[in-house]
Amino acid sequence: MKLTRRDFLKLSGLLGLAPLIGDARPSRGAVTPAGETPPPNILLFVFDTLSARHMSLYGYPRETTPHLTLLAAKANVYHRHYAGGSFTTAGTATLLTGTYPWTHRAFHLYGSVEKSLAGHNLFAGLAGHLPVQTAYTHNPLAQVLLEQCHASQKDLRLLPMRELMISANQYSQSFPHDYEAAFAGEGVARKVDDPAPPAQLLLSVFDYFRQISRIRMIDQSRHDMFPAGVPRSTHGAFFTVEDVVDWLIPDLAGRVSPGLTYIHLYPPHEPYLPRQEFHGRFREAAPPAEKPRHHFATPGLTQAYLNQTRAQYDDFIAYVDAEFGRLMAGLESAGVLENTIVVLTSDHGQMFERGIHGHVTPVLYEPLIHIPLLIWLPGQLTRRDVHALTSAVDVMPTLAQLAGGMPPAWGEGQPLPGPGDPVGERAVFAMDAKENSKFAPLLKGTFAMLKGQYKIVKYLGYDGFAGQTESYDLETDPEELVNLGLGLPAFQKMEQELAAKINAINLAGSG
Amino acid sequence: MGLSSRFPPRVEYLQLALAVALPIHIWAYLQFFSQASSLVLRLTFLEILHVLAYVLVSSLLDVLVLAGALTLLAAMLPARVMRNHFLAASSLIGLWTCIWAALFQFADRVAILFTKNAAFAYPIVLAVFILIYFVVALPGMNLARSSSLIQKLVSAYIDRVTILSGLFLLLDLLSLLILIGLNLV
Repeated sequence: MKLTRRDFLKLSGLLGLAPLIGDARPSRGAVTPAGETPPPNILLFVFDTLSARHMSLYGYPRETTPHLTLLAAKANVYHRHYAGGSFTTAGTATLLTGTYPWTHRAFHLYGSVEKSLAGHNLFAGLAGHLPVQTAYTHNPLAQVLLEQCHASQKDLRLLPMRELMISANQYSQSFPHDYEAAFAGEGVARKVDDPAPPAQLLLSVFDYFRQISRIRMIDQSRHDMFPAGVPRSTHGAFFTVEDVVDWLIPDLAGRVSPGLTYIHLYPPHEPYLPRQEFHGRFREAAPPAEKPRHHFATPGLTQAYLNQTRAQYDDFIAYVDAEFGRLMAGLESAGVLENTIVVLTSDHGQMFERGIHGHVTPVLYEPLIHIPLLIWLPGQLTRRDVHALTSAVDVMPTLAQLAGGMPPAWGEGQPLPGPGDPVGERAVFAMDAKENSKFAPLLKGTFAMLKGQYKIVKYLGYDGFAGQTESYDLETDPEELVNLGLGLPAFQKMEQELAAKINAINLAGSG
Repeated sequence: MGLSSRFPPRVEYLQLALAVALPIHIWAYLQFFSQASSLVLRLTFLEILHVLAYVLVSSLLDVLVLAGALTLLAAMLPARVMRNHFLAASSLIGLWTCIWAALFQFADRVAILFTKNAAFAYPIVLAVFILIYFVVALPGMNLARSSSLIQKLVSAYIDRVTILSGLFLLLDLLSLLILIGLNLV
């Protein structure tokens, strides 16, 4: 179905997106016959581990995202957007399926979406309107999910990870039809990112020495550009954001038919290895105020270490920000933006406080789940700030609408609101349940619920911390320093609502 | 002398594979089961078996590479060094290589024991590990060709592990077939 400009605006108005689109005017593509406007391209760009709390665009005192701040002058900026989980699998699956982790059940590291729901994904949801679909990721955990999407959407052009990498170091990529098991098998057999010894006894020793020389060789080959080392994953793959940007601009410019492109880059995930001009940029920056250590703090992790790694993470964000700026400039000069909706978001955040570094932790503080969301619509000329609560589950239904269709029935989200749109008493959720079986009721995990200005976090089943509740008023206490307990009636109501939600999910699962 | 005469008989190659298959597989199963608790949280029983198939194929590779490397070594070295007592010498070296490789997996933990500056200690620990390998392997090879007791012990060891190692290798081959089937269909 071709979408005319009139159709596009009419549909947007019908679906409550008119304020979001505003002065957006999709222009005519070069290959379109006179009088017709093609459906828009959609580019969904995900930076792994990008916390909104570390972006100057959202008020972070360090100037980490100057390019995004400039680019936001013509974008819709969502200020209260939340991930469904706190690490790649849970966060990405939420984005790709439009459902919360308790539904898609991909809430373990290396996990995948419940098999019966594997066909419920972004690509399937948009296939009717944007049949040309491309996906790429650096992250093997996201690749597990994309391979699942690919199994149900055979027309999806899923690029092998090694395609845009300097060096991939992953044998399981040779088994794309059986990637999840192959990747899990490789994780057990080789010493990849796990401290446990590898099951493969002898070749792992050779592999180890090969890795040492490989790392040295790659780092030396680009030492001028990346003095701290070439960006890499914790799985030993090497890549640069530059390579993806340089591939993506001509690839999108060369498209004859509009399509959906999903790009999920590993940076700014640790290890933090920015380009030379960003290296050490925030080394001298004043650290934020120290927060009290949490029950789940890593023993021995000092505040000095957290401050140091925070600065490195911020350097890395500045690097990806600059590259995203270059991407947008390239797309604009190639004319791609005239008919392309660009969405920038992340799968989860990162944490450098309370004695916790990283994101593989049971806590769900704001730095971990508050993620960026920016949407550029063709022809949009002004910045629109949206302060309503939104979730990663909302992205899929919104894109389905923008592509000219209806949100798939399976989604748990709703189309994103525009500025000033009434959103009512809506709640959004995030959860972490890595220690709970995928196949069992949710009895161990952390569950966050946000509603209005309030946030409540419930810890279930943890030794020594079971049943604990944290509640915050994010309007008066955005740093989550004062746990208000269940003193306010609003929190009591939220706790009951959250408990009822979990019970309903568990009952539905057991039924 | 023809090239083929430099290689040991096939049956001895097979016996060597059986000798080294035991420690390689015991290690692999131990590591697999130690990590199984995280697998059961997210995979079904069949999926876990599927993961095990990949692990076993990697162990089969270990067996083939080690047995192949020792055979090649025997073919390249003068006959008196290894070839005349191929089974005893290669099995002994093979077993020692497995033990050493298992210890090597803990090299990083050893480095941390000595100093907090792991970056400094690590190359030294690695060098010591490599040195230990040769310090044991070279006299071991000499012992295997000169001591009839060692030769008898190795022979007895192979006799006793044949069935179990054969079973391990059979499961490896089955895993290989499963993976070929799954990835080609």
